[in-house]
Amino acid sequence: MESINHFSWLDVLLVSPALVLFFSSLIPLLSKIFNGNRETNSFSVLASALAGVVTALGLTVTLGSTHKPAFDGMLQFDGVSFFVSILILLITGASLIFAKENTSSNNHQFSEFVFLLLNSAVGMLTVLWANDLMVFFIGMELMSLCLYILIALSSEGKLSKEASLKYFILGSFASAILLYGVALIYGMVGSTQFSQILESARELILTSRIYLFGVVFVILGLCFKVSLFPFQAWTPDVYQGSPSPVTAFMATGVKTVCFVVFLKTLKILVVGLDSSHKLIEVLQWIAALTMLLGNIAALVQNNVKRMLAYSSISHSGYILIGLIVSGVSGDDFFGSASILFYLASYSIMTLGAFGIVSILEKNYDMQLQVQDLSGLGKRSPWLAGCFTLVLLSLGGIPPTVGFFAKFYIFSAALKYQLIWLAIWGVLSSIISIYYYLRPIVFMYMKNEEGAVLPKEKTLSFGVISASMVLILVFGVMSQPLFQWIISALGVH
Amino acid sequence: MSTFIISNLWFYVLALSLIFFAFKVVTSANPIHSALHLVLTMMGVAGLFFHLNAQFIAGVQVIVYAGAVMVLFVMVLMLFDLKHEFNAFAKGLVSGFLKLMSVALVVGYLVGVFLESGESKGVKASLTTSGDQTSTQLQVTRDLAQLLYTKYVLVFEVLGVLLLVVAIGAVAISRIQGGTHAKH
Amino acid sequence: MQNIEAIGIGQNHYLILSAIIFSIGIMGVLFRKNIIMMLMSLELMLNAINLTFIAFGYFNGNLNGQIMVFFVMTLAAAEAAIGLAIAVMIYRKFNEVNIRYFEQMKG
Repeated sequence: MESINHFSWLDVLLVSPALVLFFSSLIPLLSKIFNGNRETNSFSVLASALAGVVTALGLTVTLGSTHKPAFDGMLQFDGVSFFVSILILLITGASLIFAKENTSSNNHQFSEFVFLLLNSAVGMLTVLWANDLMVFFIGMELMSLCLYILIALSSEGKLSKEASLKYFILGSFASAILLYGVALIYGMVGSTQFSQILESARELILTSRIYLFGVVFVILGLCFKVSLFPFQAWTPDVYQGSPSPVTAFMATGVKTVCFVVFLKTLKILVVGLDSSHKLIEVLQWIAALTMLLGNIAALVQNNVKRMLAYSSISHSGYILIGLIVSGVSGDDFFGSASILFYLASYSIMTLGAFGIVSILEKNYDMQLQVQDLSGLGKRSPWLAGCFTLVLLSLGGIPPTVGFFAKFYIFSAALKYQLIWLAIWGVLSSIISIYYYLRPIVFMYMKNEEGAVLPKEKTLSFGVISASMVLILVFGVMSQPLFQWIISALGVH
Repeated sequence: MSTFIISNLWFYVLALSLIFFAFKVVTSANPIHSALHLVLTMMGVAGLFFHLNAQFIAGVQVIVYAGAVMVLFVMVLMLFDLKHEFNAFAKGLVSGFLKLMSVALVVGYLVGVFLESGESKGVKASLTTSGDQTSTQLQVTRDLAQLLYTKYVLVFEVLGVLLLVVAIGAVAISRIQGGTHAKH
Repeated sequence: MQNIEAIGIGQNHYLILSAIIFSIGIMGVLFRKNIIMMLMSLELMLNAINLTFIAFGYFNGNLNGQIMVFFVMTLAAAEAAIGLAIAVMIYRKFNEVNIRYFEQMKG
């Protein structure tokens, strides 16, 4: 029984959030089968899925203090994975609630939808815990494959199928490039485990061209997944065509996970570079162009989902600034902490934004335009207030959490002499305020008939209100949260 | 010198035919021809695996890849009406030129990198015979199984989840309009 | 004896071959406009990656390369299955498998 030595029951316990999610994803499908292949009551499906998510959340919080490798070095549990896995589970729960009340996802295949969403979350958790390039790659593919199918399952007829096709082709292409980079890295190091790569990375990055190419390919693949320039062209089309709950899940969860992987890449694979190295310079250019492109393209959008997609592209640019800082900062945790803080606040804001879009979509064929928001201030003042707060936070107006997130990122950039990047970021934020204020103007100043808040979408409404509260609370309490993140990073 | 050519001829023949078949995959006007050339490419790659002491993987490649995946491709190709699909290449001279140049740049850079960093690892390997060709496919297979089920068991399980997802997802996609028993 | 071994087939031979096949695959994805052709070029890229892994595994002297090829092969089959399912869905909806017609969303 040699296999017992390779993993212990503690390892299985540490992985139990993912196991719980997987088994709770099977329950709706099984009940559908026993119901004679007819769709069961969507509320019971939602309840069983949420029970799984809450259990996984409880398990994660309880086990959060164990920081150890697991499964013979394949996984590593530390402060970063603890923090981000809680975030991912919250995002999953919110997306499930949005999905139940949105007509493009709540159709005769809702059980399959829930199954795929929960398994995508399992893939995300696997990526977060990965300590080996193989585990990371397979987890990322699990996450992406579920999303390709989820987008195609929308009730909407045309845009969603096109979006699924585009995402699949480009996503698989980027995965192949990433995999080639993994192959080159493995070739030079001799192993795929992060701990062994870290040992040889310091000299390999300067001496071996093959290793450098491997890292470049990995970064290229990741740049696609987080929609950085010049690989951002798929984002507006895919975000617009997907069902809004899936868009909420993608824009927050996938970006968070891929940026954490990007952070690990810069910390482990690319060690000991300073800001004069070519790679860091190229990353700076990418950040600047991404911010510029995202903000300028969003100025001319009328479709709310496309506008939010371009805004999330520009947010990727801001996060990349933080990544560059943590890449050149070596052992200091300020850059990494600012990235994690930004990811958390960005996820809350974007969930709120796409949740509001999801509520306002009467049926699956409707594409929400900015003009549809007219007069929302009078018809549903609370919803309009939530949307206003979310937009202000996305724009970075104090005292919302968005302002503090940008503040931390830019001050980290200034601390490491990336001055022109910080100035560029501030300028881009100022440009972005125009398209964040436009819907607010429509909501309060115009009086035409627009979209109405339907009566039966109370649960989503609750989630959006919760996110609004969090935006305010974390904005005021940003300093303690930031200190907690730094201490969590320092432990590992 | 003649022993050099003869003992290495197999590699050059295989490599050049692989490149030719791969090129035909991409440039054939008829998709069925492309699929068949892809099968030939996969068999060629399996031959290369055989010489790299990965005989089991070579067998799996032939059975799974060339046998199952390509049959799936050909089956789906037969479903479509492809009469007007011949010559579905990207139009546009400028963008095509740019794409071709960028790919040429990438491949040139890669080949240059590999050529330049030739610490002739080949010498080291053949002298130390780490993968001793004569010992035993059986040993390699046993070691593979050992690794797969002890050290990489987690990845194995996640892969199982992935296959389940693919199975259910493919059925769900085909049932978007309700499936075989749907009332339209 | 040593001389003949020294000019044998080394690591670089396999790497260059797989790099060439990989870039032919990239060319296929960029230039072909038929969905199935793009999927086949993707399979070509994955085959080149498998060759890279096995070659590195042989010359590094461990079996990690072969294990990785196991996983990549499984993944490639799964992706092909989903890709073909999506292609069939597109064909049933739009009666067209050429992506030149999918410019419905602009901006």
